[in-house]
Amino acid sequence: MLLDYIIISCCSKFREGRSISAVYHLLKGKRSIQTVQDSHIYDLKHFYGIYQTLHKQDFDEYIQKLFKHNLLVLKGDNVVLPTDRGMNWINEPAENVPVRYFNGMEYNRKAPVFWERLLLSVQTMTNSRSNSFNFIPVIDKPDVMAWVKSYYRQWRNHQTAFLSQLYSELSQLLQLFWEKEASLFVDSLTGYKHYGMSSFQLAEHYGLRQIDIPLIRTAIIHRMLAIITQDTAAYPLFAQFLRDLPEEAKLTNSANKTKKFLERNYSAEDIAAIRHLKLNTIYDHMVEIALYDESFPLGQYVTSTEQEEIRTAINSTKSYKLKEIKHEISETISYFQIRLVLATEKTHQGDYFVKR
Amino acid sequence: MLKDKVQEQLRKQFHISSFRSGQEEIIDDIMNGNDVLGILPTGSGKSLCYQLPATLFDGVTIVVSPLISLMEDQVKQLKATGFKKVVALNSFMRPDERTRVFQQLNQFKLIYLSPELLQQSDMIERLRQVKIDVFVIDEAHCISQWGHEFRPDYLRLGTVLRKLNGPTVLALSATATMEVQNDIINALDRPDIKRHIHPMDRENITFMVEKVNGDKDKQDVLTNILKQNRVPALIYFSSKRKTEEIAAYISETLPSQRVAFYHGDMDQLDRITIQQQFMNDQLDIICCTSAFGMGINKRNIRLVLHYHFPLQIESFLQEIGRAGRDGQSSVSLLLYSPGDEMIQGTIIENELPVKEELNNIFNKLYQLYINSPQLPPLNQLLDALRLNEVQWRFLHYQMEQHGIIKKNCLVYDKSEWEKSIQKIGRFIETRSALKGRKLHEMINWIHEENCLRDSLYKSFQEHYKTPLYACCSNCGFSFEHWEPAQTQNDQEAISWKTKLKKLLLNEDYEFETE
Repeated sequence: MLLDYIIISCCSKFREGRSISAVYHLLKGKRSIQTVQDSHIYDLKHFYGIYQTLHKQDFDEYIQKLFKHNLLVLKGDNVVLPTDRGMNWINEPAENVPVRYFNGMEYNRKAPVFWERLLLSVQTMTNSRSNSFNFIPVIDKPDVMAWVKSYYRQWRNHQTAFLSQLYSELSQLLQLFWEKEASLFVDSLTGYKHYGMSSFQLAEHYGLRQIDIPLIRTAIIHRMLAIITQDTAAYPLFAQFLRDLPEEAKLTNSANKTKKFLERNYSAEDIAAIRHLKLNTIYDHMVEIALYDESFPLGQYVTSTEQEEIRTAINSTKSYKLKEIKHEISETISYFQIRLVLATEKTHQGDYFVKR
Repeated sequence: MLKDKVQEQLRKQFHISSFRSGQEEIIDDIMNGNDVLGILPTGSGKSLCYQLPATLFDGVTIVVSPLISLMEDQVKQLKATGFKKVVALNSFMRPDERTRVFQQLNQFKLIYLSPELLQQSDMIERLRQVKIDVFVIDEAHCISQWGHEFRPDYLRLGTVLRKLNGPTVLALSATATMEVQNDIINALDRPDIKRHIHPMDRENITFMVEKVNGDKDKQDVLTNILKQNRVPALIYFSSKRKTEEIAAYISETLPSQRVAFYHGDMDQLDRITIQQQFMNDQLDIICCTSAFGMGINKRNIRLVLHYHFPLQIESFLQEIGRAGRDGQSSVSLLLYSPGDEMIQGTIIENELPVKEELNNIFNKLYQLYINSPQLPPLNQLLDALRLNEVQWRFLHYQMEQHGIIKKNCLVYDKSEWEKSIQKIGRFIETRSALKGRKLHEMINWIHEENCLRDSLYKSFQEHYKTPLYACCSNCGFSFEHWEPAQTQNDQEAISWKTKLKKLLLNEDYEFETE
């Protein structure tokens, strides 16, 4: 259900502009300029990186199923469009489909770490309270284990206090959710002499599809993170869980280096020569920088007349395909310039095109 | 002196107050540097026999184990008890991880690995640089059961031992006939090994065979028994798909039973989840393949059901041995329907190349040889020879033995090849005959008209204990007479808030100690 909704929504925004694999990359949170840029210009930021564990094979099978159910239709080799039925379906007010919770661009890296810390902390604290130290950890990632270990040391002598505070914060949070969501969340937790349900078991128990379970959990966590961040005073314990989280590194390392050079007024050609990189690579970096940096000096690379020409072309073609835009404008304007304009456009005009 | 040290370690490291039957004698011998073949019934604590000495020796103890999942489980369980100097090596490790472990190999007390890994020369080189006190072969019957076909590296363990300068050997198994014991000793080349053979009969298990007509009947019988009894149960299948199918069927027809499936294709987290839930009595029934069970120590399994029968009596004994470790009355039920032997027969056939095809296969190999003596990549090779991987591994080992493959290159000599084809052909005949015989033994047991217990144990030992409860279906047992303690129903729909309270605030929990 949820995955249907998300895939069809993505297709309805991408229209013919992108192939079906763009949807997969978006959900996986691929850290490429193309995918990040797509999520901005097509107004899909909230879905970025929300299903990092999705396998390509499962995704492909899923798309086939949506074809079969006449919700999506293939156009050409790899463009996928929603059918009328598909459009109707996503426009119906669907209850209990927690799409609004997602904020992928903000939380795609924080959410899994938060979840794993919570899971392992609950298991560790409830076991140690019962003097049971022979348990198999549900999470065996070294960095999560190290964090919980140091956290455990800090709370070791106040376990009861910790657990009752955890109970009060968690139940306060869960109260803001649908019963079913809260219940599913609690059933995933592992504690002393109690092992949480697997996705398969949750799906069976709640009459859901297994493939939706990680998505529902991620949705719940995204909303939790939003609530906690807004009011850290009400959630002191969870605020600690959010400390030392990996930052959402927005720029790739290499683009960051290029940015340093640009700030010292080097030209793209100079930077390419100094860094022994292709000029096009430097251009990629600049597009990436333009995407995040509100104060990017677009005027230095594209004159205002050129900008106007490109914007007009985007409006008339109603497309984000570089080839189609290029076709409409003077030959002297380069692909690089079009991409820069697209990258800076995304914030104010992105919605306009997609919503027609 | 030594004995005191062992006793002290038992308490301090393993939190156990006294040995179970058989353990102490084996540990004694190992501590004194004697090679041991230990045949102990399932659930008697075989792993302690090497884990305890490993903590006392200053060098390393190597454990050869057949399944990666089994090794991973054991390592996790050991770490959970506070024994951290332990590692499982396998070929799926990332290169950086592998390098890290290799660099500090002597930091570990226990190293688990597969027989295949011991064929890699860099692995052996590394191991030669550390002091190895004991070399353990866990589930040693694999040498005989699997060695000849798809795990030929088990047969090469004798050579490995020589390369490692002959450490003390401990071979452990739960089921081994005299024939298998001799196979093990020959493969390891340790004729003076001390045998510690313990009777394997289980006095609290009742045997039952039920013959039905087809799948539908099996499901009906199953449903009837499970409708009457809510007890911890295992149901064994020979197909992974079937475990899922019947688990779904049971949960649909008997909603009060909490059921899950388990097989080797599941990922590790899911496997551990199912195991742990079963251990914690959160699940009643597991539908599984033979992948489930090794290393599981749940004391109150009341019922072991065979939906399909295993390929040999030894496997059957392993699987039913998981029932009733707490000594309470438990039942083994095997369901048979005419034609079941066909499925098993096909499984066996697929494990060996067909003798009549050998000339054909070698002709193709000759064509390949003319092209290049170097063997092509596995996939291409299997396609060209029309063999599956198991069959090729068998053939590869045989060709190596006859010197017509050396270091993955074909060595051609017309008369040598002709002689080898003859010999390999005869060997295939011997092996299929043996497998056929094993299967036949199993089938004969199913059709036994006299006492099932007597018939089951007689090839393993001279005497067996008088059963504590009913003996077997041929001696008059039926399920109406069986009244095991039923799992209590605590499954009312409780709200998430209550669940969370119970989980975090420990409300409703009685104080429990291990």
